Amino acid sequence: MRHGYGRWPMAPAAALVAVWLVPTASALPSYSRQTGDTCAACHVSAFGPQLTPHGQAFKLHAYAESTGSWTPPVSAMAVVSYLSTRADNPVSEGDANDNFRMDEASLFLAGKIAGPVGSFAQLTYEGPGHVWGLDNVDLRAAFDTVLDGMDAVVGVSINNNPGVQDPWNTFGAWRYPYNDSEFAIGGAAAPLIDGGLEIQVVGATAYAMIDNKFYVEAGAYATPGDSFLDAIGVAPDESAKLNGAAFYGRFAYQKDWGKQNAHVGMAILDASLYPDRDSSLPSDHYTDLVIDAGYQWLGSRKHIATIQGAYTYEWRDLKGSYLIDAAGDRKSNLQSLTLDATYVYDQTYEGILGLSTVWGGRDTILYVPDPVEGSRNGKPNTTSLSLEGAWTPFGKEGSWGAPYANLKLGIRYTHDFTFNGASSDYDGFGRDASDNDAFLGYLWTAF
Amino acid sequence: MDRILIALLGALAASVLTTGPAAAADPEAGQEDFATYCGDCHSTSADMVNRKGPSLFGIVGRKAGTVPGFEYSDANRQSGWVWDEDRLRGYLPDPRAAMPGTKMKFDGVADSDEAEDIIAFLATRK
Ligand code: HEC
Repeated sequence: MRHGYGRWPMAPAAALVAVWLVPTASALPSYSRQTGDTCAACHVSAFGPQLTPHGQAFKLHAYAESTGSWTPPVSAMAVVSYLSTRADNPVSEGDANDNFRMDEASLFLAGKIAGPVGSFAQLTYEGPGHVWGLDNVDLRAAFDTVLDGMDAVVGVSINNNPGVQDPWNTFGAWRYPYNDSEFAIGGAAAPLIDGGLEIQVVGATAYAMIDNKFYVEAGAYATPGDSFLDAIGVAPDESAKLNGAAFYGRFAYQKDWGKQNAHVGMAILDASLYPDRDSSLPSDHYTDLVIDAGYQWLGSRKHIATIQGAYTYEWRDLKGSYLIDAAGDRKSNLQSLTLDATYVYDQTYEGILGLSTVWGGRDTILYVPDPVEGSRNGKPNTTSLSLEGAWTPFGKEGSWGAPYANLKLGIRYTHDFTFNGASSDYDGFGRDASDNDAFLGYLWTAF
Repeated sequence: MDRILIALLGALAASVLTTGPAAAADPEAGQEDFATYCGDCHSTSADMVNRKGPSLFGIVGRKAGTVPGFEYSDANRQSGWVWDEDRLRGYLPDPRAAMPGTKMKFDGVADSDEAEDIIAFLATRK
């Protein structure tokens, strides 16, 4: 999935699961068939995933709004990508370089199920591993009401990835970059909320959007039993194991002026994880605080510009890992900042500039020298800048083949300034951060 | 004499037309404003597609709640309204106040110039 899935003490696990998510899904043609709306009504670039206020409202209304006549809530998606890194990657699970693969094929149960109940549920066939597994799931129910004289949408979501239910695209499952090659080289650390629990947990949250301005949400996540994980295609011994329930909370304020809109918000994830899934050990405690903001200029949709970002501070108390010498410091922190700016012309031609940086304290036990993926100096610090260009020919009013033909073609170049703590010889095996610079070309299609 | 009178009347009419609200309305600007405020939910294409809202092709002069295949609210369907320009002028600034019970979840077009432009654009879609 994104550049830099996490590594915390039990993390190879999460890393493994994370590879399911290349990429997270986007505009779903079944939603378009159900509502009659064009993809471009809900998504900034007629393809997704970045949502417009119209798309957010559809999500908050549980993906259940329709024109009245029934359409099958089923979509499919496939992604093919080509990845070339500046230097070969000797530990790649694919070829050492120039990987041209079908990354995944997905089936979605996506749309109105009955009444106010709807879903976004993704089943993914992962190319390199040749296995089907459950991917992001967001099952919801919502209704309109009036609270204290103000219009409100109130709902519940049952989902398997904290943040996948969020209507903005600033952190977690839906932030930029929206897709990546299965073989992308990711940094050693990411905050837990950035995909660390995805697919391995089940949770429920309740939310309300009041007066189209105030968004509040709270809920909890837990680790399901091993047989359940097995059944959905997650290897239990490689997944995170929560000690009790993890808490998730979200608050945001937004304003929509029609031509433009903006939001500021914060999110919290508070979780305790057993090191190595060993429940006889004390657990490691993570608290993530995310502060995010975004702005969209939509105008008449001829020229669209958006800028959005998130800053995350993660408090770590690695009690269990420290005890078994899997971490050098008991208390530490990790911080991350992501920013991206998008310009779309005519809902067809798109340019994105993205900055991503992660930094934290030195820990020579947590981050060890290792070819390509390790760290020479024990620091997780990674900073990269990417430039993307994409072409979305369909998905607009009067588009050819609508609402079945959907295609996005894109190229992205990512430069790493520092990687796992250094710019030169970062892994202790002579590799420089810029050796990971990557050219990605992709073809993304959905129907 | 008659000619002069006609010329004068013509000039008068022209000046009224160019300064009055009707002439100020600009359907091209209205098309852009329509894309800004209405296009997510409404289409004006001649093949009468319904989205979240009903097709607005031929809306000016049409009886409310009559697009086939669209599930209107009772408020809209039973309003007995005809969407002439004055009706739209009264409706667009605050649809839910003008038609309590409508399921059009839209706060309205606050700027009256923009509303006029949109109406002028809609009048061309027939
Ligand atoms: C959020 C979606 C949405 C937006 C935005 C929206 N509408 Fe609507 N519109 C609807 C819906 C839904 C209905 C059906 C209302 C009902 O049945 O009560 C409707 C009905 C109408 C009708 C009555 C149609 C008929 O056949 O009786 C008109 C006229 C109209 N809209 C004009 C506009 C204009 C002009 C704009 C932009 C300034 C606009 N709407 C913006 C959703 C929307």
